[in-house]
Amino acid sequence: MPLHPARFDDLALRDDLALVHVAQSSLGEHDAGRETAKRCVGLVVLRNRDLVRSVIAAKVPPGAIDDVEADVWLRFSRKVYSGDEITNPVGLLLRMAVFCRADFHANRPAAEPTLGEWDDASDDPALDDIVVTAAVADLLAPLADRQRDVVWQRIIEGRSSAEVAAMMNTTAGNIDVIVHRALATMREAQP
Amino acid sequence: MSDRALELFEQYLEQRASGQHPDAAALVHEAGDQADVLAGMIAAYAATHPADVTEDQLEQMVARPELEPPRPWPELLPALRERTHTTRATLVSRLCEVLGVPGSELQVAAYVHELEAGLISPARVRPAVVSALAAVLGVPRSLLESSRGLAAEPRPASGLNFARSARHSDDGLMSLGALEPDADPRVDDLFTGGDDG
Repeated sequence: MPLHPARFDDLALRDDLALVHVAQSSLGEHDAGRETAKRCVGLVVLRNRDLVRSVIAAKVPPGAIDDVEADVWLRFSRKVYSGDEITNPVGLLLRMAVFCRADFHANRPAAEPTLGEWDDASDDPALDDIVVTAAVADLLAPLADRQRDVVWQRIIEGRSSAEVAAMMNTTAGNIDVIVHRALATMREAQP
Repeated sequence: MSDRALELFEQYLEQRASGQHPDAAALVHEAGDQADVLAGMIAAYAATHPADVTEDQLEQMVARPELEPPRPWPELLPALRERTHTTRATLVSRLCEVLGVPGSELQVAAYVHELEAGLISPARVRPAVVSALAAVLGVPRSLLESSRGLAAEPRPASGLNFARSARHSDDGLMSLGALEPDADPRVDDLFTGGDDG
């Protein structure tokens, strides 16, 4: 564990996942610990900035890219600071970029109050299939965060209701209800 | 695969190889109707080839408010004012302008004070106020939106506290004291009407 605030050279040696763990363990250590946490998150975000900006730019006009990108930073940092387990920071950033640009088109504030429903335990979204991901994101745009995560896990990732329920700390029956309502919302949103 | 997308992707690779920091978003827009294709290529490459980061870049990034650990509005609003060297009087004046309620400075000032002192919940303000605060303070709306639900430590509230807690000169605001006009119900609704959603 580095002294706080951790030096750039020490942090730069660590991979993204290790930086997330350092950030989460540093938060409680007063101001210097918070500074370390911010540096860790900043490093992860900067390393993967091209990924985020290219995904956003595919669907968002030039004048709005910086704002959508800032929403991704905000969501990512909040997820890290929440202490939730993160197993795949790059995959999480990718999903957040896709969802934030969908929120932009749905004209919806990107960050909802709790920001606690992201799940990153899934495998990497197919990075070579970003066009399909974009189409899926458009379909999911009318949904709230929790609904989108459930639909993504249950339908896109093909997990069982029981698996998704375990990941989201709820019951399989509740997952089925969420999926049912989400599909109804998506049908209503279709032109 | 599109020649244009490939050409731009090679340009992106060359710039990175030469130590430059190409703007992936600008290249994707340059690809026009091949934007999705190029975005996919850059995303796939970037996911497996994270960028080198300099200490200066990191320092600039860490100064961004989006990377701050979440704070309730009574802490966040004064911190954002201080960061942008915005006095409370200036904030109030700009809010009145953006919200379209000119002449309601004292009423808006009272609500801003209550928000900063934790006397009213940020959840009660209309989305228009969140947007206006974000615009005046130069931060993404989502930064304020995502902190609306955070509970603040209760703080003692009084006019004395209001005056004492001002970090920048509020002379212009305080001198308006004797001239308070009738309360505008629109302002009350903006600050207590709740979230539209």
